[in-house]
Amino acid sequence: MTRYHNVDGNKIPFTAEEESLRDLEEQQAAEAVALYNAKQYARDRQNEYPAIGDQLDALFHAGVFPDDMAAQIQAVKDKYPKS
Amino acid sequence: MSKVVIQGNASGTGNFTIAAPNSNTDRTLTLPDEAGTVLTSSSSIASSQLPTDAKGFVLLNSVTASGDADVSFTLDTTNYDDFKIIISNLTAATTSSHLQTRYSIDNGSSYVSTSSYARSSIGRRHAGSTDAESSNADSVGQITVSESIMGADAGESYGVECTFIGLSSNYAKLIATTSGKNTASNMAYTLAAIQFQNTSPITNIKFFLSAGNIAAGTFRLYGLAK
Repeated sequence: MTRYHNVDGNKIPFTAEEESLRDLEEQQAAEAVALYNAKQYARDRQNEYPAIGDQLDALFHAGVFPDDMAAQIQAVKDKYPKS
Repeated sequence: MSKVVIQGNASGTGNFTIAAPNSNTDRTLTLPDEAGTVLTSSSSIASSQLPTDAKGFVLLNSVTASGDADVSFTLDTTNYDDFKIIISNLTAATTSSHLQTRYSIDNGSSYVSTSSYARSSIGRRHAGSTDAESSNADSVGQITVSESIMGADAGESYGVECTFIGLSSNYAKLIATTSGKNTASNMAYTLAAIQFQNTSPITNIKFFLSAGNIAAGTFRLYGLAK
């Protein structure tokens, strides 16, 4: 089906060369969209994961951090105790 | 002593009357010391004749798109430097299509499609991620981002406001916002800034979608006089 430019309100049909170029651009755009959509699961997971801070806090309480890191975290907690 | 001459026109037949108002006060109208005609309430005034504080964006053209691959405007950069384009009810014929723009520096004979468009954009839909995209060398000025890509289902359409700044000078800038329902009818928003990496004045602007036709939309072009 012929494509049309709308130039200042006037319809002008595409040339054969313009049609071919447009076909190519649409194909490239569709590939880019498919690439983005293929990673939708990762964005969905990211939206629903607990906040990174909460994850790290859980690891701290599980006692899996190295001693020096655990000491730094505990020092901050001691500096700002829960009221 | 200068004189006042009231002169008829030999070709006309109408009677032109200088009439006094119903008043008891003496008045004097001093004629301007220059040639010209008298303005009336139906006279049109060129923007160049307006005082600076009376100038604002004026409607230059309004185009209704219906099944068009693109919509373009020829720009009067002699009298205007900044332009605003308001797009109402922009509807895509094909789902998952980006709103894009390209510029012409030869009055619309061709559009720059080399790596001349830099952009920094953010977008978000109400049920999705925030998407930030940027580039320094795109072949097209892409307004929407992946999270605000357009859909083509019933009720999915966009309102768009584009402000083009300094089109007759170096490195013209575009600031664009979109709002509407995108794919899967999510409420989506975009804020995009695009800079033309070319020193030539822009003389024509084209809008199109990355896939398919513009099914519908009203494009209004406004100009801000120099």
